[in-house]
Amino acid sequence: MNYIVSAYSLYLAIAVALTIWVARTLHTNSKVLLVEIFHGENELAVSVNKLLQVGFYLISIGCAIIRLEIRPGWQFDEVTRANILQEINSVQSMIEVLSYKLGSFILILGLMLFVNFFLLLMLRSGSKPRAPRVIQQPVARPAL
Amino acid sequence: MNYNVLAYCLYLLITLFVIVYVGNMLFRNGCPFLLNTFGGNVQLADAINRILLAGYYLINIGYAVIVLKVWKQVVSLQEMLDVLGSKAGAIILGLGIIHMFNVAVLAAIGRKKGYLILTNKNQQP
Repeated sequence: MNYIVSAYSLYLAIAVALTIWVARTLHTNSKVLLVEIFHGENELAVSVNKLLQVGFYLISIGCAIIRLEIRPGWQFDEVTRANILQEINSVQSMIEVLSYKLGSFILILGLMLFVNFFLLLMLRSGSKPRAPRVIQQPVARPAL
Repeated sequence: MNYNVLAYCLYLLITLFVIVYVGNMLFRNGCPFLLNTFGGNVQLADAINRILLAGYYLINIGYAVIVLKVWKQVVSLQEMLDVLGSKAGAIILGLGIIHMFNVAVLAAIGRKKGYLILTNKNQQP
């Protein structure tokens, strides 16, 4: 088992665990908001919450798997003063590559969380009870 | 295990500790403000507070982990301490600046909405 394979397995394990944690946090805490959005209809809120959670899982894990591949990158070498291919052959280079992959995935997760959250807040402010609409009666034309 | 790996471990420990500590403090002390904003609805304010905390953790830890990529090669203990100090210091300084900016924004909002009234204690009506 070389370093790239162990980097893959670490990346997948951490990414999936983080996705599950974020999805559960969103799921438990957005129920209050959804109940308010749907004016107290509990069943509807629960089912919409479930649908949102499944969507979150699919997008996040899909993103994590798509970004899995580690390609050797070009790096400037100070000794030879030239760009050389950075090979992953030590624990140090594995941590460097893994940290970039994981960090960008965590930032994407944070973005997803905030998008979900602001969507809910916007829906909430849109679903506030409004004043009943006054339908204007057509004004009769004065007879000629 | 060379100095770089040791430095990475120490860096992650320090930044994670600071981030979790600051996040907990914000979580506890941001609650009254959220309660005020959402008209005293405790359940709603709590839920929103928890979502915000998770977002804060993700953004901060994500950035702190990404920064690991660009470290130079460390060959001695002294160099390791130098690099460790500058990197962890940058993260902590950034957190501090963001935090002060947040407090300033909250104070401005509070003054605008009338929660925060700075008066002289001698001039009580």
